[in-house]
Amino acid sequence: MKALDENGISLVELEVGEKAIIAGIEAKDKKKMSKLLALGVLPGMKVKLLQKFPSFVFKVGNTKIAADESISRNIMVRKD
Amino acid sequence: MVKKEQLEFHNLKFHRYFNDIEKAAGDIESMLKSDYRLSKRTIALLLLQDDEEIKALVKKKEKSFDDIDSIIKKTRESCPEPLQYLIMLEHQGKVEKILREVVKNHEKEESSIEQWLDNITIRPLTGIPILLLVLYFGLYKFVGQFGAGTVVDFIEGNIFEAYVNPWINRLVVSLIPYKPVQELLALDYGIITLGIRYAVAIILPIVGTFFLVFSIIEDSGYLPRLALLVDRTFKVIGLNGRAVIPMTLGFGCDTMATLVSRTLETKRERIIATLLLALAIPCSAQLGVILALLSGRPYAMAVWVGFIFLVFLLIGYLSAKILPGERPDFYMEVPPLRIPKLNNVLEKTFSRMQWYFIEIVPMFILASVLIWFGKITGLFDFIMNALAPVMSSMGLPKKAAEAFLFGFFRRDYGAAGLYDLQKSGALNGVQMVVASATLTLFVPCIAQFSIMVKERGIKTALAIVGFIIPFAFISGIALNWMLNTLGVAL
Repeated sequence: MKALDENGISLVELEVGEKAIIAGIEAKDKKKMSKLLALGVLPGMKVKLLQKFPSFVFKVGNTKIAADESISRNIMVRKD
Repeated sequence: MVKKEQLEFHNLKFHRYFNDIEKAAGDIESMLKSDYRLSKRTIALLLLQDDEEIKALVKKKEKSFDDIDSIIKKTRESCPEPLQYLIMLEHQGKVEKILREVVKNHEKEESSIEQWLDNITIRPLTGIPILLLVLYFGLYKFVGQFGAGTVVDFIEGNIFEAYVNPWINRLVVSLIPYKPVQELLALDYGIITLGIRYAVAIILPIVGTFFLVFSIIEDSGYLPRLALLVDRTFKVIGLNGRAVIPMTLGFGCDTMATLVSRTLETKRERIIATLLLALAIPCSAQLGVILALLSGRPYAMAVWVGFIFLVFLLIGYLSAKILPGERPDFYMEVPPLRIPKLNNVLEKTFSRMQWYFIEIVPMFILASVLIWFGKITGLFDFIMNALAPVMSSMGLPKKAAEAFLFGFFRRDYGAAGLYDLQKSGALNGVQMVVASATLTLFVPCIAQFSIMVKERGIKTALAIVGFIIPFAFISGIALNWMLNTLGVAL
């Protein structure tokens, strides 16, 4: 993974209700990455974290997505 | 290249990828000599993206596969990120550019009611009570009481027992002079009087009402919400939230649910789901009879539910520990909640019932034939005598063995057998709970077993059944011992 700029954090570190821009997808695990790509989670898109427990729920574009922590952790975001 | 000409005609061009990828794609394209139904450029791009299926295909078709593979490897090393990711990013950039030119975006906020409903279904504090309400009204009230009670009583009592069975019995007895053939077709265990009657009068209303409820829940967009609520719990048993769909379907028909479990991602998940469906999820037919059996004894019902749930978690947990493989990932799109369209719901319910009829009814007939065979050859008496000590160690009368034996032919035949025993007053509360629990855990029906063989292979299917049979009896013995030691009267 290329070095993210200073504000680059994982989606799971956002507060519930916070909005951010997707900076990239942590590419260590190829399978997890392709799952996120298939859901349409792509860099540059706006994301809003809606819930952390029992699963992560976030909105990307017009799509609401539920995922567990091990998947959500791979999404790197930049706060505005 | 027809495709290129078409594109040029419409004044379109292939998207050009950034240098390394474009060059590699071109090189690979020129090395592909065989005919693929897709364009060679597409094949080349899929190869660069590590598509397993295409890779296997090209490996088979091209002599120069090793050279192609080395181009892919070289390109992969020269790029900072996985090729699939880079190609996807380029696609997205292109899509965004087109969209900007042709689409206007209006920010539309969800209405407050939508948002409220949305929130309360996915928060554990409100979501779990909502789930219980859905189960109570959908499963218990509608399927259990209306489907398995009212509708079954009407078709079974008012149609079959009053008209069809006596008429068939008279007809068969008057036309066929041989007792064994009479018994094959009619009388107590005949194809028509038992097999068809069960299929039409008992199973169809139960499964039909279940499929109706399931289709409504499915179309309302509720299932993904349920999935995200239970994901953590399901992880403990080696599954992920997605498995709620086959698992819930199991309460309708475990056979269909076993078929649907092929949608689970890994082999490990599919095996665990198949095992749990066969062991601890009672199908609607069995559920209907057991609910009737235990109704009026709320404590007995609570012990049964609690015991089966415990076994479900325990065996799930242990099999997740034992079976090798990685933890499953959970990710799912959550669609907005919608009011289901009546047409779609009815169409789905109907096609599921149709599937059920075509797949399952022949099994019923086969079951009737096997029961007939077991009866006239004395095989059943032999097995029942052999089971007598097991029954007595569970504190059950010898006659209960019949219920277990028939349970293999149809899960609900077994439960129905218990029902008869209970009506004759042969069972007390503890015995009923022990018998119901053991029967719920006991072998899958023939139909489910045949789908298990088809989907998971004969070895896995036999291993699962080989585990279930002793496990069910040992659980029954343990539960009986526990209840008696504690001196519980139910």
